[in-house]
Amino acid sequence: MSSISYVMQNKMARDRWLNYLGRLVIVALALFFAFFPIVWIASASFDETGTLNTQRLIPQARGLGNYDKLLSSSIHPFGTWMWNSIKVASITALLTVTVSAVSAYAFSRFRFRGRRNLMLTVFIVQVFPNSLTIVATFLLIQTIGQHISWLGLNTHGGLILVYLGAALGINTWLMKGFFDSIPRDLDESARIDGASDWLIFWRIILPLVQPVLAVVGILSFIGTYGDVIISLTLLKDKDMQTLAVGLNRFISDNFNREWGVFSAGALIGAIPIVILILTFQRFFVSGLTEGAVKG
Amino acid sequence: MATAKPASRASARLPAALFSSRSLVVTLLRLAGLAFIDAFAIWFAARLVNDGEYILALFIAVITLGVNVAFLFEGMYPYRWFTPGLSLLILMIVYPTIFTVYVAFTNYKDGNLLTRVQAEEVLLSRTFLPEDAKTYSWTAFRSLDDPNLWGLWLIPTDSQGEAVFAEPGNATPASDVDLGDNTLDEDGIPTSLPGWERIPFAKTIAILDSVLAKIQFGEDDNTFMLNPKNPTKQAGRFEAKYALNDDGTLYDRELGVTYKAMRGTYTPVDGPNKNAQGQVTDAEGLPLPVIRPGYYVTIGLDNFKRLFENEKIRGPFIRVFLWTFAHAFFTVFITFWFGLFLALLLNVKFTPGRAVLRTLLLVPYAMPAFISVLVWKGLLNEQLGVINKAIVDVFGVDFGPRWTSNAGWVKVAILLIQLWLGFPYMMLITTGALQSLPGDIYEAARVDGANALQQFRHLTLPLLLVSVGPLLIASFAFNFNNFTIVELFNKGGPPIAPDQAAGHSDILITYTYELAFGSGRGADYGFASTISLVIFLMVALITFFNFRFTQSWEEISENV
Repeated sequence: MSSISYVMQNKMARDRWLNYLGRLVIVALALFFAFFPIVWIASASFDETGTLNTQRLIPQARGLGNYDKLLSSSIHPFGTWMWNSIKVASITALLTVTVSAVSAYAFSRFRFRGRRNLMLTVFIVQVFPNSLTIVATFLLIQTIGQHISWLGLNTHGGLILVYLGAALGINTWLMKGFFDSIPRDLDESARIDGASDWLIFWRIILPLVQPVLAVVGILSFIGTYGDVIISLTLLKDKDMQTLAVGLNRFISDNFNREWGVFSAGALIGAIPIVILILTFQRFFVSGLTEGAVKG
Repeated sequence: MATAKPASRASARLPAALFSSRSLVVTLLRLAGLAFIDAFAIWFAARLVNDGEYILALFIAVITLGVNVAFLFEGMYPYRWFTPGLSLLILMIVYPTIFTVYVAFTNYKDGNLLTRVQAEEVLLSRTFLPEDAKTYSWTAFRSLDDPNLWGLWLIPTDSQGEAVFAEPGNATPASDVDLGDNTLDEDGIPTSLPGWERIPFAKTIAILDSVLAKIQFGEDDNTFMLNPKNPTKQAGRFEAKYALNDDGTLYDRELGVTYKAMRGTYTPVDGPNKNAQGQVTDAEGLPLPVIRPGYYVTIGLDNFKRLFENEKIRGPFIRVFLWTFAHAFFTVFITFWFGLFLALLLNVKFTPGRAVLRTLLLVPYAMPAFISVLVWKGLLNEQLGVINKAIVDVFGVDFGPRWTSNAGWVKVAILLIQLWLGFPYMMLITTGALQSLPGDIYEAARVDGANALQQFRHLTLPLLLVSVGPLLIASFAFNFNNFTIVELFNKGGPPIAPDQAAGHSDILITYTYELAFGSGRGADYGFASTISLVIFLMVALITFFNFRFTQSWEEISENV
């Protein structure tokens, strides 16, 4: 009796391992699919021959020449692009969080005529991405730039202004949901002590909602960093361009010859975002799924 | 919860109290801030009106009015908190949307890029040298403050009348010019002027054509330029070339031709010379061209008619339209099934290391898409990319698939990239959904004798689709407008026909972009906006569908 059950257990354990190995083979194939392009450009970035044509998986001449070239080229100023991207994305994220937090506080704490309609309007408006109006947006920024030059075409001010159009959007919903979870008793007791709305917002609510501020800031940063259509439309000067526009221009200019340099740039450009997303995976998923809608 | 209660903040205060509750300092600061914003807005709106940008000026006025109302009336107190967000929303989202609708009904394109006011301003500043123009001998002066600022001392060649000192925007009779302590030389030219340096003729020759000949000296009705027929010796008194008649027609004073604005373009209608067909011609009998720049005007439904009636446009448009849907559908379809497949594989309880495997499989999703696409563009390069070289090596064929130049393969390539970019997200959301499925129903199913496949088909899949359905539709809507992938991979190409804006891999948004900003064809903002409206309509339909057939709208409404 006991020996039979031992054999059965043994068989079950073996089946489990076989099943696991079988699944592992398929997952390994998926991993190969997922990592092949990344490994390939990582290899290319250390390949001193530097062209698409001559690249081998294990480079024959290894070195950091591509990275040197990438950071010193004046025709394709990678460092400037990277800095532009980080600058624009940071400022956009900061202002988005500010605008969103102020609005979310009002949505969460005040009851006023038109509140429901305003919230639903904000929700409906953000369904239509602002890339749909790219022609009108371009013309708007062109017109503004004729009078206020630092908000015009080919300026970071104008670009940030366009991104901020979406500041009051899904972020506000996300934040408002989080604000709702802070007990109102806290506000009330502060109000009895004579605190104004602004003081309650600044001193009581904001410190408690820091996680959601961080999530919205990161989401906004990543979204701005990855934008192509608006930056491609507005930025023409190579010294003003962001990484998304610059890299595209770079690879269109000399695809084969500069493959190694491009690969180095692609890696450097991707790594901060990859780390950011993998670190904040948890927030990201909830932000993308129910959190965004349910609050 | 959702009913409009009176604002609790406001009701606690005295009504209509501008100075009631806050200290005087705060109130004054607020008023000063408002005054500053108002002053800026009025300045900006006035300039816009001056340029004929009426719609934008109206929006600026409305936004400013809203800000004022929110900060001046205590009853509007909660709206103060929305002024930054709402102002940005109205200016950067609502206005462009309205303006897109407007532009879709205009001929806003190359040749008609200005407002009427701007176009007239440009045309009325053009000048010509009449046959009997008064001519002058000139001497150049250069500003000591600004090396790019030039002036001319002009002496009439017929010795009739007075000399003139002309700089851009200003012409002063010689008797009114402040000579300082300088004197006139024997030719009647000052040796120098206060703030100006006299430039000897020899030094001006090098910049004669490139600089001096291009400057309009003097004012609108009193313009002097170097005489094109004899620039080294003479300057002439130019006159305005065009005059605007009361009936809106434009009269060319040089040729004696009358132009009428037709769809925003001044077209010759009457003149001294006409050919047999009744066209207005120049003296040699060649038909006169229209005047550029023109201005944009509404042209009714012409852009829409072009879309539906012009066969050279309609055919490619329908292909783009269908591929937009197919692209979004197949993207969601393949990423969902591959992601779900992996999620199921990793969802089995006995899977050592599954947390690590899941995180590793997320990496493609974590890469910025614009970088991934460019990397794939290199891998899929037809001659030099690693994939085609591998295919050639392994299969011994001459050439791998033409990923960027063949109408079919380019679509396969895009879907391949989409699969790579998108499966981790689907794996992520289906993993979450799988983990929240109730376990007891599977017990019941097993008791009823359902095998694994039946359990999946009749239990897992339906339950899964309920929870991830809205996300799949959202993903569909996102990929419907996935500009980054399509534009960066192959700019929507290869072209459907040689001179066509539409390409085989184009989706509606990249087609719009090509029409408006594509190189070599000339911008057509009007028609591009028409296509934008089509996208709007589609996105609205998808969203409506999403709300109608899933519970998400109820959820949203509840959470207000």
